[in-house]
Order: sequence, then C-alpha cells, then structure tokens
Amino acid sequence: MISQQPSSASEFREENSWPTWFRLVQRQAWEEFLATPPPSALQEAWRFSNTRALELPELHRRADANHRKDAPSFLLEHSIGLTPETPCLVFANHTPIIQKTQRLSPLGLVMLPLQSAIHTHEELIRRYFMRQAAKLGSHKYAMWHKACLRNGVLIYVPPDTNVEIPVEIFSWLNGKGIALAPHTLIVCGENSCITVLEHFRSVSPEDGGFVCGISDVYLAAGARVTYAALQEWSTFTCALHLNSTLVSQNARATVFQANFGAGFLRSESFSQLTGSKARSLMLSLTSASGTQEIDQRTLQDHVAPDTSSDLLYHNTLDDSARAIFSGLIRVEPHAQKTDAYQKVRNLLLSDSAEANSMPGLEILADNVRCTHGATSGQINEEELFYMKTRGIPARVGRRLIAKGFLASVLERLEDEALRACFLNRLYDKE
Amino acid sequence: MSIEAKPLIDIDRSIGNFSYTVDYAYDAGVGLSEETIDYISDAKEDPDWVRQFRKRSYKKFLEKPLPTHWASRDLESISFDRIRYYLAQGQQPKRSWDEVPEKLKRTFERLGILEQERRFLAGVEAQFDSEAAYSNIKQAVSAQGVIFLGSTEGLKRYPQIFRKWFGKVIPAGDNKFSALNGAVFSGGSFIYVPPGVKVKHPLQAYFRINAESFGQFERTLIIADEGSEVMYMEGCTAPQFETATLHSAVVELVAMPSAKIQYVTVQNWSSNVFNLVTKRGLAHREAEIKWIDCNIGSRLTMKYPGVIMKGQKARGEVISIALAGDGQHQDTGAKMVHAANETTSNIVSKSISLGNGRATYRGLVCIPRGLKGCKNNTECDALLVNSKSRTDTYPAITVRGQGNACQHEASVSQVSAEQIFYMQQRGLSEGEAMSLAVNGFVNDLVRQFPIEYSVELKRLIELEMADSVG
Repeated sequence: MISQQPSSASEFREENSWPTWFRLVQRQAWEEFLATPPPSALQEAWRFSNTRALELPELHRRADANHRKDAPSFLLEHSIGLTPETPCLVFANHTPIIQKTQRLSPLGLVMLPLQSAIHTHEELIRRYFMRQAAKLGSHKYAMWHKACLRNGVLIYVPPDTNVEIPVEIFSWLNGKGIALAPHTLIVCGENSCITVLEHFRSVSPEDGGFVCGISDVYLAAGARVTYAALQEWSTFTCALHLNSTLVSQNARATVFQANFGAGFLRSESFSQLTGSKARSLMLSLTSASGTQEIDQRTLQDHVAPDTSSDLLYHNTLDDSARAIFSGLIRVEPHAQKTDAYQKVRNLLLSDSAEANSMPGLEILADNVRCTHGATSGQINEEELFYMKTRGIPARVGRRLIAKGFLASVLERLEDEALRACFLNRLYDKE
Repeated sequence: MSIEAKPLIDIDRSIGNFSYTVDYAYDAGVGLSEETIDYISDAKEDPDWVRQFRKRSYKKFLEKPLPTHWASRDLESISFDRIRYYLAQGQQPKRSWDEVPEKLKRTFERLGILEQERRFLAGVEAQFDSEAAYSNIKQAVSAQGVIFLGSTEGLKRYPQIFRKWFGKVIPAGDNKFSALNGAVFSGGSFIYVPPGVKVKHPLQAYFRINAESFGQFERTLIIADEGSEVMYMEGCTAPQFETATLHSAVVELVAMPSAKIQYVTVQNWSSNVFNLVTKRGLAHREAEIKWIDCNIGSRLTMKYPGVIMKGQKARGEVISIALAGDGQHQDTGAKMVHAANETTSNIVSKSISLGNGRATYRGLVCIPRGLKGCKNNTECDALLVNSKSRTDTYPAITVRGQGNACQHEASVSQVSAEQIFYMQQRGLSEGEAMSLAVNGFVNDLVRQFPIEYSVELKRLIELEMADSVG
C-alpha cells in the first residue's frame, strides 16, 4: 500500500508555509483516503483494469529523499519545451527550481507555486481547490493527492486578458520510490484566453514511484483555454492523472494529453458543459509498448442545453501493451440540442497487444445528436506494400504509419507551436 | 413542432390481454425451496441426473447476487418468495388442436397461432404456463428425422442427445437467472436436425403466461447437425396482472460444422413481466448462428443473445429491435466471443424509446490472443421520441493481437421535426407521420424478419403509433 501519510500534524508544520485551514483539509483527506476501500476490477469504473498495479510497495515518505544531487543544473538544461523564453515554472519533486514568469506580470496574470499562492490568493484557492470530486473511480487517490500534496501551480487569468504566448510547467520526478502529487489549478476569467503546456518527466530512466496528479481547469463565460499535458514518466512509474474541466457559457476548452511514459497509467478526464454554447474538445494520443498499461476513463457531461463536445483518442499498442478506454457521453434531461461525439481508435502492432474499449452513451434528452465510434485494428498491409515499393523497409514503414496515426490527432490542435512541439516528441520517441 | 407538446405515444397492448381461470392438475405452490424442486422433479418424473442438476442449480441461485452492481435496481423488486414456479394441466402435449381444451384453444386462436401453422409453419409448439399444451410437426419434416418436441418430452424420448448438449453452452452458474432456470426449468423446445437436412419452413413455439404471479422458465435446446439448416421462431405474450410476473428462459443453440441456425424472437410481453433471459449459441467450423430479436413490452427485459464462435470461419450475428414504451426498460444487447481464426460477427441493434421508456444497449465483443483474421462490426442506433425518453449504450470490446479488427458505431437522434412537418404537409396526421418515421428507422432490420413477422411488426408499429399521437 501507498504510505506517504503525514504521520503527525507536526510534519506539516515542518514545512511551515501551509496555513492551518489547509492543513486541516489535508488531514481530513487523509482520513478519507484511509476509509475508502481500494478499487477492484469488479467495479464498473475499474473493469478490465489491473488494479494490482496500484498495490505499491512502501514508498519513501519524503519526496526529496533520494534525488540527483546535480539536479538544478541538469533541470535548467533540460527544462526547455517550446522556446527558451517561454514563461515557465519548474519543479523537482514538489520543489520549485526555476521560476521564469516575469513576462506575465504586466498582463496581470498569476502563475505561482501553490505554496506561495495560498497566501497571496487565498480566496481563489479556497473557492476552486479540488472543488470537483473525482467522478470516474479514483476518489481514493484524489484524497491521497489532497493529503500528500506539497506544491503545485495556480494560474489565474483575469477577465478579458488574452495571453498570447503559451506558458509551461515542468514536473520532474527525481529519484527512486518517489511519491508525487503534482497539482495544477487553472482559473480563467470571462473572455480570457490562455494555453498551458505541462510536462511530466523523470530525471533518469531508472527513477520512478507513484504519482497522482490533478489538473483542474475552470472557464468562465467566453473563455478559451488549451491545456496540454505531455506525459513522459519513466516506466518505473505508476501514475494517475485526474483532470476536470468546467466550461461555462460560450467558453471553449481543449484538453490534450500525450502519453508516452509510465508503466501503469490511469487517466481520468472529466469535462462538464455548464452553459449554453459551451464547447469541449478532448484529445489524446498514446504510444505504449513493453508491458505498459494505459487505462483511460472519460466523461463528457452535458448539463446545459445547446452545448457540444468532441473526443478523439488514438492509441498505438506494441509488444504486450494494454489499453483500456471507457468513455461516457452523458446528456442530462434538460440539455437539449446537445451535439456530442466520441471516437477511440486503437492500432495493434503486435500479437500480444490488447485493446479494451467501452464507449458509452447515457442520453436523457431527446433533441440531441450523439454518436460514438470505436475501432481496433492493425496496419493496413496495402499501405505498407506501397511504402515498400518506394524503398522503405517494412520495419521503418510500420513505425511511420504508427506515428502518422498518432500525429493525426495533433491536426486538431489550433496552436501551431504546440503542435510542432508534440510532433517532435512523437518522432524523437523510439 | 414543440417537443413538450408532443403527446405520449403508447402501444395498445389489448391484443392478448386476457386470462381465464384454470384448474391446474400440478401446482408447486408459492415460493422456492428444495421441496418445490422435488415436487417439480416428481411431477415430471425427472431422471436422477436432472434432479441433481436442479439442486446444484438451486444452490448456485442462492449464492449468486443480483447483478444490480451494473444492471437496473428494479431487479430488487422481484420477490422470489411470492412466485409460483410450476403450474401445469397435464404432462403430455396434444398432437391435434381438436384434443386441446376449448378455452385454451381459443386463447391460441385469438393470437392467430392456428392460422399461422396452416399457412407457413413446419411445426408448432404452444406452451401454456409451465408445459407444452400442443406440439405438432408436419409429417414431411419429421420424416426427414427432424425432432421437434417440448423439452420435457425431448428429455424423455431422446435422453442420449439431450444430455450430451444440455447445460453445455450455458452452465447453470452462468448468472443468477440461468441458475434459477436450471433449478425449476420446465417446457421450452427441443430440436434436433440430422446432418444435411435443411428444414424449409420455420418451426415455431408460442409461449403464453396465463396465471398471475407466475414464473415461466422454459428451456430450449436446438442442435443443428453437420450441414443442416433450421429456422426457429418464438412468440410470447402475457395478460396484464396487478402483480409482476417473471419469465426467465435459457436457450442453448449448437450449430455443428457448416450448420445454420436462425432464431427469431418476437416478444410482446405485458408491461408487468420481468423478462430475464439467457441465450447463447455455439458455432462450430463454418457454422452460422443468427439471432433476430424483437423486444416489445415487458417491464424490464435483460437479454443479450450471444454466439461463441468455436470453429474456424464460424459466423455470429445479432439483429435486434427494441421498443421501450412508457414505464419500460429494454436492457438488451449482444455478446460475441471469437474463439477461432477467421471468425466474423455482426451486431446491428436499433432501439426506440417512447414516453419515459428507457432502451439500453449492452454489448460484449471479445477476440482473444493468438487469433488471426477475426472481425466484428457493431452498429447501434437509438431513436428518442419524447423528451422524457432515455437511451444508454454500454459496449465492452476487447481485441488482442494484430491480426484482428473490430469496429463499433453508435448514434442517438430524434425524429427530425422537418421530416414530420414535410409529411404533415402531404396530408398525414402527426401520428401517422411519426409511425412512418419510426418504421423507416427500423425498416432495414424488419426486412430481415420472415415476411409474415415483418408485416406484423410494421403494422404493429404503424397502428399503435397512429392511434396514440395527435
């Protein structure tokens, strides 16, 4: 079992900077974590999951117990995503290492480590911090996250502010047997606009542990947000990512996830459309090989009339990789004129790969258009033959087709710099 | 066309909604216990192995929980202690309608069974509560060696074939309701088609529940030997009672190499019947099993016909139509298990939800490791007629290996207001327009039904909808 519990209140006090109310919140969350039974594959929310992957050996209590000593200089060199000038925050096991956000201050934009933000923007945090319950099965781990959280990021975009340059967050896992709880809270005022790119990486391929990250995005009326996560944890990592996005009237959210790493990944993405003409786009590409297991759960929750959502997930599965996709489009009784779409496609690249798809619909209104599709298949031999006739060896051809299949998701991203960044990571990956 | 102003559409279920008092010669009483099972076994003069099978099933029934962790909680309102598990007038079905008691004959006449038999059926079995009341097969068909009997009679006369396949496709412990059926089963059909025999006309069974608070637990076993072909059709009705009625059948199909079985169900239960049925077929090499399933009526139907494709190039298909009226829940779907190379399966499911009716598609497709050239295609479409209607889709698809392919598509829509408006401009009433639109929605599937059934089905939708809209 995971045990990173604060053994006494004094341990929190050591870290000093958290206010009392927050420590209390954490204490209660820990109680709830303990009281909640672990998941089992018999539960619908965990069907097909290898829940044994979550029965972890004792983890280090202190996140920074075993880190690479030259980490700061290493991270300085490697924490470059879009451009060296892009505003960013870099964390190594919860500790902020680099803070390059000066360019944002004139805009009135807030981008701060949670530890400082809790003092400067207490109201915002009280109002939005983990307001959404984990609806897709991982309540227990959301409670663990809340209790064990040591830091994170608050991004607040004031109304009518258009942040033209993307901002970046790097969360590095540094050491073995590390337990991490990265937290990102993005609150966007009316008619504001921002693009946030988050990187999840391990310092060395041998590093690993348990990660439960939460990213919550709030869009006020008319806001436009792109939240993109590039997950490249080492394969020694068991990771959970819980995302919730609340989209108000006329707002437009894009949540994009690229999953390349982690031995076991549970990704839960929840998007709720709460105002008319709200739009949500959920995109994901996953390249899994070896014995990686990718467990994706999504919910497109239409609670207001005249809203639209669109989901596209592409997975390539090589060796003995396993994927589980369970997605639900839910339309509440009064959410008439909903337009919802969901598509998951799996490309199986080996005889031992496995894809499980559970695309679901729960429709309680009648004036709607909801469709979904799921396919699992293989590389088209004719395409491969075509490439062979052009002198491309079959092995290379297969790889190109698989990458092209994943890259097709990127076409749905509006931000060109973001698209180029992901395309590079995709083609760099062996 | 405003959504809220649309009146509720309901199906007139008066056809078949009648019952009369019967003095049953056999009555196992109310509730279920070991004694009930002994009573049934004694009455039916079961061989020992069947009695043991019933008792083992009963234990499994007690052990198994209700599947309410995924299914409707409405299941909890079934009170197993208040149900009568066995009611029969006699053990031997009649071979000619003249011998069938007048009242009972009238029941079937009103439902059109006699007429249908004369017109196009190769054989008929009519079950009244627990046992077959009438069973007949045309001379020409039986001369080919085709066996078509009630399962009680089939077990007595052909124990060697019966025992070989009974409970092999669906083990008693498959689920709580198959276990219940295993404990108290009675009636149903037993069909054996010898190698190479192609039965030209359909065989039909008719199931009727007449008694209140009654449970019908028929057990059907169909074996199509190598290279043979058979089509079987079943129809079901029950009158409306104050208390809920339970129907929990188990149907097992075995298609030997290159054989073909088509199993057609047209169910029109009254709205207080819990219809919880387990249906599965085993298809050997190059065999084909096709389920054509039409679910109208009942309070809750849970039915997921399945095919296990055990031999190379076997084929499975499920074509289903569900119509969920006000207060009804049609929880239907399909299961396809690919267990050999180059097996293919196809699922097409269409549902219509009326009033506050709820239609659910639940599917399972499984292609295990190491197979090559397996394909599945699933399409499910739902039509919502009223603003309170509900539909759900819950498929689960597992594909392993790179030699196989699966695709699933589902859509939900409503009858387009423009379409209705257009038809009204041409002089149709709103109800007529609506029923035409609904018929159009299911048209391509209805065409797969035997012609007599498809005409009936279309007319049923047409008439009932035209009467109740506008």
